Amino acid sequence: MTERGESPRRGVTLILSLFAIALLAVVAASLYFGAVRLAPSEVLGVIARKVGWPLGPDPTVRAEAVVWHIRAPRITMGIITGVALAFSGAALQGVFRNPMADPHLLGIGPGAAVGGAVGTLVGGTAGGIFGGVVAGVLAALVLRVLVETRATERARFILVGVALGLALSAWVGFAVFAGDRTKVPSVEFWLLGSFSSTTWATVGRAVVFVAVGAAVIVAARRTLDVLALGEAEARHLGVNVGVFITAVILTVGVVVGAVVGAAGVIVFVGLLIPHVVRRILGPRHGTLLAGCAMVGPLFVVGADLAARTLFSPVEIPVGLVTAAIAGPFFLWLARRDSRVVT
Amino acid sequence: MIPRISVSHAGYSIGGTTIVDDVTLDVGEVEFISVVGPNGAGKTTLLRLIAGDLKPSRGTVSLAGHAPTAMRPRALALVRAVLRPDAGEGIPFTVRTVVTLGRHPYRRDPANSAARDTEVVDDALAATEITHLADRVVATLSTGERTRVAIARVLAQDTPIVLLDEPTTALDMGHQEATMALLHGVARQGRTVVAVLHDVNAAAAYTDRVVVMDHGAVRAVGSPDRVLSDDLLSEIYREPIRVVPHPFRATPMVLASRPLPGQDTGDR
Repeated sequence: MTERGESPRRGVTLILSLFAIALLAVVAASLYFGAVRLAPSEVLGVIARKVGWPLGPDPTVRAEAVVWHIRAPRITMGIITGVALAFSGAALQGVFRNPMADPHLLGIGPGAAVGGAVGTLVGGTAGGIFGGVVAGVLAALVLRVLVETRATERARFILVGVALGLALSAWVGFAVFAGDRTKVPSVEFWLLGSFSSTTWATVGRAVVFVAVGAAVIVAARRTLDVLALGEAEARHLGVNVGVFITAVILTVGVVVGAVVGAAGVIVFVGLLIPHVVRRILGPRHGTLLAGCAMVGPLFVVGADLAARTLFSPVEIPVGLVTAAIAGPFFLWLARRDSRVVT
Repeated sequence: MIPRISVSHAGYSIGGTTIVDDVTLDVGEVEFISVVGPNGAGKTTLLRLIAGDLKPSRGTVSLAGHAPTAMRPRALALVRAVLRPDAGEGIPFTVRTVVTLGRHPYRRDPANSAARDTEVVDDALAATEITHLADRVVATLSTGERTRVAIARVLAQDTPIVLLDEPTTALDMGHQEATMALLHGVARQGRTVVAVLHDVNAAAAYTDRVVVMDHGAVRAVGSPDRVLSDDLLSEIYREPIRVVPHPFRATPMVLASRPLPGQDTGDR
């Protein structure tokens, strides 16, 4: 029997470095590939100038528009989304001690999408993010109350979340169809996700919420380890379990609300990425989060690259790509994982 | 002096059923106390009342003068450590990680250091004889090994009060004796140890005082040779039981004395 679980410390740095290199490669590829063909030197020229290093001939206005104002913000939003969703999945799986926990599966994402749609109708892109955060937190609160007493019953817990999510997804539709449809993105945007309309302004607003929330989740890593011993054990080790779980869930509401408000619901990232990273780096939340910070963005940016190049010039919703890749992969993981304790 | 643990007329009821009824018990500093009694006697509930997991319905519980349920979780975690039965099942961490998590209450303590944590954890691993398992994943260990990991974690928490619910039930005879001797030593080092035990002989051999419970109430408290008697044990366990002197230990020995089918054991 092979031992599954914590991996030794050595090797962690190497693996994280490899993840970082892979992420850089995907980012570079995403800057280069797209509907508009540009020479690598043009792409490099634009990026070099933006970081204050004039390199080669001046790039054309068109190259600057494509690389800096279209591709760069959506890649950055992809990175933010990847971190936000992977962290949220890891945090929820930690507090519920349930490997199936995921912000979208548990209804926080769909809830945020309702708020995002309503917020966009009221206040444009900024309103979308703000509405997403408010509704994300509200959905997280509802989830907290619903699972308060039954958190240990795994099947019921997931059913509660899925039911909540489906009901809220319907409300996304109501919000979109009831509103002025020239002012709000489509149902498709909200429920399948897209970075096609991302601007630097979107990134600037979302990053604030995600940075604060991610910092809170990182600060919670040791307490998440303690909670893995069991709720009673965590209490015996001085953790105020109820307050801690509530704080983590609400933080997830903020983080997920911001990215859903900006780019809609992108499924499977929160569920899959922590599982993959856990298998490679082990279950301790410090290394798990470090890995998620690399692999989450790697997956989302890569999926977005596929979403806009697979059927170019037609762009497909990025959530279709994440679901298509992650679904079967997750089923395979679940089959393997069913043989060991989780 | 304020006793480390003071239970005064404490009772606990849930849904109209009284589980612990009017328990009064003072435990001093250097003591190893066992709680014995039949299944459903209220032993675990009494331990949970002392641990601060449950708030007494009647009466009071105090640890060094404070009600545990009124204390902040971290302050409480510096006063008492708790071992629950079936601890450690499905935990994906290594043994060393789990035992190190026992140091969690000291995380923001300026007097504590990483070196101190390592020292305490190493000592706890050695004391429970699991140093060789330090890098194994807990979920892959046997039940007995997991119990020893949980005991090591409780020791690493380094609290004046140690509460254990059935620490030896899953252990083989060798590790059972070793664990009881270890806990006895822990008490002698100045800690107060309270253990719920099913093995009355272990209680008789190693603990300073035995609390005998039945139907939620304390039936007797005292040193094993004073408290453990044929009549009391036979009554609470609803089973013929004899207490005889241990042939080579100066402790009582508790024996089941139900006649076996086809054998006439007689009454000597």
